[in-house]
Amino acid sequence: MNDFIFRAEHIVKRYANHTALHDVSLSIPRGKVFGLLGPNGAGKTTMIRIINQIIAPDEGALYFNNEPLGLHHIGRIGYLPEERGLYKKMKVGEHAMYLAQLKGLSKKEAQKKLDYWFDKFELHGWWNKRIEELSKGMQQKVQFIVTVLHEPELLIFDEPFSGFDPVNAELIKKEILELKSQGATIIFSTHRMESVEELCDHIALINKSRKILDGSVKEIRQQYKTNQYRLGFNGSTELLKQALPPGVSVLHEHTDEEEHFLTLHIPPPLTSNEILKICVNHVDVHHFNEQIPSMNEIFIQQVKGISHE
Amino acid sequence: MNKIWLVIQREYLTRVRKKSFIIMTILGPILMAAFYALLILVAISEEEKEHRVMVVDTSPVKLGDALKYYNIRRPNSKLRFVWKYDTYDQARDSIYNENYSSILFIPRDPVAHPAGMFLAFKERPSISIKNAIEIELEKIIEEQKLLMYNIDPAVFDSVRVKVNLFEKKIKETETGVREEVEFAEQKYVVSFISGMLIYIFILMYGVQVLRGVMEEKSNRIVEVIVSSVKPFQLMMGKIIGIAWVGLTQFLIWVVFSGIVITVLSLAFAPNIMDQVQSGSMQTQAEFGGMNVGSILELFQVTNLSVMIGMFIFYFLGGYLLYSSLFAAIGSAIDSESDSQQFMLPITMPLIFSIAIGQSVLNNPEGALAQIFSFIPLTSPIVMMVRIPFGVAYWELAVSALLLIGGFVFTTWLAARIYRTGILMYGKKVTYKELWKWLWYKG
Repeated sequence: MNDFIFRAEHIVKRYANHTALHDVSLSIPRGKVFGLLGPNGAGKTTMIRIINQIIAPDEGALYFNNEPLGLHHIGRIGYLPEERGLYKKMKVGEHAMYLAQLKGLSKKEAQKKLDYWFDKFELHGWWNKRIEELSKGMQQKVQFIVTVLHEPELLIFDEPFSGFDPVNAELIKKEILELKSQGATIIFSTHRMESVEELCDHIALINKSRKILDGSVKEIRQQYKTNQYRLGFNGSTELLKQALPPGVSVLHEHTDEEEHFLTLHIPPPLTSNEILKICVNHVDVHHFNEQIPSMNEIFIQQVKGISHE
Repeated sequence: MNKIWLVIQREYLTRVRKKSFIIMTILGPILMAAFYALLILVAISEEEKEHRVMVVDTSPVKLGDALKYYNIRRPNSKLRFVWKYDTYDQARDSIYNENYSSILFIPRDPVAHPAGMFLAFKERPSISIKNAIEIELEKIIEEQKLLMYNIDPAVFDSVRVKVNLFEKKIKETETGVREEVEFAEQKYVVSFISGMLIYIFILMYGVQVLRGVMEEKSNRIVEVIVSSVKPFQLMMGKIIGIAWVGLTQFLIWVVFSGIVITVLSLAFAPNIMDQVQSGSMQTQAEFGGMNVGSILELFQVTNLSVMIGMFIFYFLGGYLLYSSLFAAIGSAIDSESDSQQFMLPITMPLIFSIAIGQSVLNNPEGALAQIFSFIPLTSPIVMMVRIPFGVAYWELAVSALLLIGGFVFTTWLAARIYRTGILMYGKKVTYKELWKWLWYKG
């Protein structure tokens, strides 16, 4: 667990009127998908720009593979910014070659790799077209290709799915997971939580320029679970309620057509197993499951919690 | 360094391959040649038109008859004096029926009242024709007055002196001093043209830098690129790439114009030389203070290769200075409409240099000329205006060093604004803000 591809320690970035990052530390585990989350304006993009050495922090230290971060690491990082575009008048192939060479690939290597990716994304007929002739989705594909082309160890995607239609978004998601399986580490910045649960192993939540949450997705969800269970059954609600031991409280009840639902709070040391046994003895249980909060709920709860302070 | 080279290549190739570049490059010298041909045509066509003046002489002694000597003295002149009518009304009423262009009316006593003379025309006489008529009349009245005061015309002639200073420049060389003939008129033209060209080039290519930076910012490509290259490399790559475009265009023009002018000179020169030799008044047909023959002399009086060399230096120096400032503006703003408030202070010194160009021309070695040929913001234009008249080596050296220092400074300044500006979206920028950007870290 100590193998971090990238570490940022006590990063501070101040602008004239505000502090964009306030003592933020991040450790990115190798080979994982790391979600960098936060509402708009929290400081995500500033952090990402610092990782990409586009801007320098005022304080703090950065390490890539345990070496101090330097310009020679640029070729080992791939970055798809949120604000992204291409030169409209340039030809697709030339443009891709240009960006690939800027990342340090030789002409030959770039050509070989581009052939592979253009085949994969069905872009081959477009090599000599101008960028402006491509649809928005195709331009995004070209952008994705040039981000990953030089096979970087660390990939940074800032809101990668914005601008993609659902089909292409799925394609990109698949590619991201494939890159992960090939050993790449991915930093993934978004405020769309549904994709976080699907993709991320680890997250950090930044709000108002501070890091307020950091850990693996599983741990965090466990940490935030509230011991709530949802029960669906047939039978008498009253009977069941009377049978429940003291301590267990009913948070919510609801009946539709032929089924009853109860939301129960089961505080420790009581276990869900004990309660389920009682339930089974009294009513006809259809389903019983723990209500683990979604990342979305945790996100909103955290961000709101802070702003209410 | 390899990366900045890639940027330069892209900036250069995308521009040089553009249709507009190719068209301008071909059309430039053709337009120049057409302009040149037009000058000659205008000059020649003007010479061919005859202007007949009907003399209506009401003075009792027929003073106007002296004009007959003009007809005899200048048989090749297009100015002809004719006589037929005794009253102005007669001459006026038949002017559209007969072959004369204007009527010269001589009153009863023109010697006492020269203001009573006038010229009425159906076809406006050219300025040189009018001048010639005036000179002839002045001579006649002068003669009469000499008679009146009983002065011998020969004495008067010897009293009247016309001074036309012949100019030569004394130059200091290793072997002592050397005299050099001045072709002041021609040098004015060379000065003026090179000053204007520098102005046009700096502005034209500076604005290309501005547009290029704005395009990158509004296309949102800039963040993709600065994750691979330093913002400074991107900015310098663009500036240098566009400088090469400018040089390419300039050199193509030099070569093309050289060819075109040589061809035209061979075609027209003998013609003009004839006219000059015939001594007819019309060869002085002027266009903007420059006579036709002297256009050809221009290329002989100025050391063309030195001029081109200095032009390239001052174009590059001035361009680097201004284009870095243009790049800074381009990075700071979101749309072209915001550019005005920042454009003005930058174009001001350029416009100012052109404005003081006239004073510099009048006195190329004066204090004004000297000061502004040292200040880097104005030196590219002002110095180019001065160079044809000869500038001391130490002055050139100081001016060049200051210019180099100037663009190093503006580049440093611009780079600091640029790296912050390119990543700022949707924010109206003020000068105060730019000042703060200068001091951000890294």
